[in-house]
Amino acid sequence: MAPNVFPVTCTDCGSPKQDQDLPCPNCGSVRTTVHAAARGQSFSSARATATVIPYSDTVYDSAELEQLGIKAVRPLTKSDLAYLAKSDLEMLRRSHERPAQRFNTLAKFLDLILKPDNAESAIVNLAELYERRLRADPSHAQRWLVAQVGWIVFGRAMDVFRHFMRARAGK
Amino acid sequence: MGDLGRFELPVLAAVARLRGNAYGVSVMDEVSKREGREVSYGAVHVTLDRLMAKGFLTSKMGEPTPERGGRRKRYFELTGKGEKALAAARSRYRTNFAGLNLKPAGA
Repeated sequence: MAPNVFPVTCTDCGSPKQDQDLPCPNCGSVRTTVHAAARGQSFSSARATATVIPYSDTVYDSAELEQLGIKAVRPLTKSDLAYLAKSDLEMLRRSHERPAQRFNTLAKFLDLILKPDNAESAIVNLAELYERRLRADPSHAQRWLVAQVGWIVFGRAMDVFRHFMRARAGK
Repeated sequence: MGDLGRFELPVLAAVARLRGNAYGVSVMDEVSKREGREVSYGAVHVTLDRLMAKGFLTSKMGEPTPERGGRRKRYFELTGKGEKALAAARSRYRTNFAGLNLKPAGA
């Protein structure tokens, strides 16, 4: 089990909990409060507390997510939400849907300008790296993706230009 | 034999080192590790293409990966020409640095 990244206490009796998955050793409640640092887009350093939803071993109960107005684009697994407080779920929804749409738009563009095999491998690699970026630094992931596609387009254009210049010089 | 560019050398060396598992991301990670700085995937992608055009690399498509919507990775391998270019670059470096007594970087 991964260690808790934020202090965790029982919502009902306030006792500290070692493992947010397990019932409280003091009162047996499964309700858990995670004392998480706020991670709003303004990068406020204020601290906030929020109650996490108790989850099953594999997947969050979709009814509970719907109650919160969360519509996931794919089934959310335990690892997606293990340390997320309710206040972060809206951010998760936003961070899952919009970047995926943007990625698909850029992927279609690469499909258009590159040869099929080249485009396919570029998209697979970019998807892997984009996921990595979204986990590490979601606020800059979009800009990073555009820069990578820009590099590829620029490099392709330079190769065409070099080829043209060489042909013109008769080499 | 065509000379290797400034960025082509580490990319070619990374493909040689990764033998069998050299695809875009793994090459980028290897170059970043060896160069000690973050390199851009776009730059690696373009360089791999150029090295193929120069005949230093060949590529083959891997198996479709279910987690990437059935898309395939492209794996790169060194050609004989690429191997010779790497060996030539190494011997050029050795010649250039022969007899120099330099302090290690950061000392």
